[in-house]
Amino acid sequence: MKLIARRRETTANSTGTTEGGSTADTANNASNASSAAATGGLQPSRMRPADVWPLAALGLATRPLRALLSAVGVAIGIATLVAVLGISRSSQAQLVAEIDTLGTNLLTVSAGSDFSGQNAALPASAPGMIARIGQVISAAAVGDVSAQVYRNDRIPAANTEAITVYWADTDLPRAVQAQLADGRFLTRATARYPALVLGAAAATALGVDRADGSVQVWLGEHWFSVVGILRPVALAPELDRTALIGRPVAHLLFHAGAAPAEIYVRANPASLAAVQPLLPYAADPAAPQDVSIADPADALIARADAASAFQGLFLALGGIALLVGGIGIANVMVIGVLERQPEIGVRRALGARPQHIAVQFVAEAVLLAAAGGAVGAVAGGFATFVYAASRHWDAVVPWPVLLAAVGIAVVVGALAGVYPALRAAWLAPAEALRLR
Amino acid sequence: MNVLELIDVSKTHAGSPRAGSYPRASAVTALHSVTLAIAHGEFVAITGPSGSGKSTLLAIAGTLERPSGGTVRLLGQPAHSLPDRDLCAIRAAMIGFVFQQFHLVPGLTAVDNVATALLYRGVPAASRRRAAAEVLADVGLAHRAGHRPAELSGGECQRVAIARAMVGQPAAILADEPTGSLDTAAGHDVIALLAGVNGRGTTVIVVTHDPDVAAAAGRVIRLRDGRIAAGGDAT
Repeated sequence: MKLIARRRETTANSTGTTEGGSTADTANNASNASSAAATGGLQPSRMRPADVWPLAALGLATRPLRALLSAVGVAIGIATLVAVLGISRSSQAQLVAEIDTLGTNLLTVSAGSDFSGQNAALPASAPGMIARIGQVISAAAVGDVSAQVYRNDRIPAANTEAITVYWADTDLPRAVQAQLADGRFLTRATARYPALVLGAAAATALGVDRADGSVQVWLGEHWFSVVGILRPVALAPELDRTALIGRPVAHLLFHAGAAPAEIYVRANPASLAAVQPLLPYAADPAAPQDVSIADPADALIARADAASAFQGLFLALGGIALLVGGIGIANVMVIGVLERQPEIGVRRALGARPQHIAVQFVAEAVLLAAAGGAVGAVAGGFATFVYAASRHWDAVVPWPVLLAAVGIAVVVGALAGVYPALRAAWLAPAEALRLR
Repeated sequence: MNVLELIDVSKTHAGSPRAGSYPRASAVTALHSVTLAIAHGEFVAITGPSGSGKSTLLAIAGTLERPSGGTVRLLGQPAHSLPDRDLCAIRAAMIGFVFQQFHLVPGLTAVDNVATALLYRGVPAASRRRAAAEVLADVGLAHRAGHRPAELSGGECQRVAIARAMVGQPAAILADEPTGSLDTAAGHDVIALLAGVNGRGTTVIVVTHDPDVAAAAGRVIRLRDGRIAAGGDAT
């Protein structure tokens, strides 16, 4: 055998070079001096911070399948959190974009209830009066027509398909930003003749798919030609199930009154707040309290809020998954501590202090949870992209959410590791080594 | 100077209060007022029948266990009364352990297992491995440095474990049945290795059943029922 004495110097040198280095034991520095004197100038045991993570990785790498399975719970929890936040953010972004394109400057004016609770009516002069307000870009009215529309004259009267017939001002599309799927909207010319425009749902219900004037429908005992079909109107969805005819022809054939049922007002966006309180007085100077004003954009914003109400529920579910994942890690770590008693004993015999053992096991739990959290964050982001793509949305996965998710996983891991780590640290060395 | 002095040391293991152990274990006295002294550079074998307190004596000598009563002086330090922090420092710097079951860390290569002995002294990783590789070469396992314990024979594992005990330059190496899991040839290798370490000045204390180890030792302390039957006084 070779000489061992030669090595005595090299090891002494190598330990000597580290004395200035930082150590994991920052506590108890004050009392070190006295105890060092008692032990003849011995350095207390210490572990370099740089050694902590390799040590933790070793513990996990030794049992890779177990590490993988115990990290799955945290991964699922984090993936749920990220996906819920990502999908709801994407959906909100989509709604905001929708609201932006439609504009939030549309107001609807309708008759409310009068003092006795009866339905009030707007005066016929209301649209004209409203249009005279300086900041109003356009105001268009629709009004009731006491007639029903059928595909032809052989349909039983009861089969109304719940389609409402309105007369409409010719500038209605401009006010509500309605677009036509086919044909044209009513013009001052066609408004005087039996011509009509169908809302999107009404056209489907009647089975009308073209508006080139070749299709006629049976409206109030008269044949009307379909000259236009609307696309769904996002800000005025009540128009989707209507048949719109001109005011003159409505008056001529059905004696429809000039009192509007609803007035769509498009105002200068910057002055919307100023315009809104003026509308009741302009619409019905005699009884402004009977006029009801609504902001259709509110409905879209309410839809966004409704989506986030479910978000709370799903976040809670993700939190529960995370909790269960953390308990799973703690469980696996406790078993690991039992199995690794000899290793713990050897480390204590080699001079490890209880806190070195504790740090090792907490670091293992943190590493495990952080790996699970990172995988979960990626999976949650991927789920968001897939879901958004299926809805033709732009996916929104905020970076802070991803970082926070991994941060939460680290906290869960640290908490899960505390109890197993303390059990490991408090293990009596002689018992761990079976020396009793 | 004596490496180890035990004066009137006794050890009583409390009865297990844990549920599930039935009949409930009553308190067991493993050592009865043991007094012995081991001088620097001795090679001492501690023998005795099973249950005679050999392992308890080794655990107390190695500061892994505190005595119930009596005085333990290790390298002049009052080990029975020092706080745990100081005992850890003593173990890290002055004592090497060898166990019957080797107790190597399964996920680490031979050289990294040896290097672990310097982990709790704050030695940087590169220096640890360098020192470990040298000691591994000294025990004749340079060619096995990159192998994990599962790839080594029992004799090789025990030589790695002895290298781990040696790498910190301890004043004393404490071994618990180091040949107990080995065949005769591997056992002889281990005895020769321990004798060689002892020959260069390190005190070696071995708990053993193996007559070959006892024959190699300079002194044999016999324990019986927790008391010293022979060999308690330094020669």
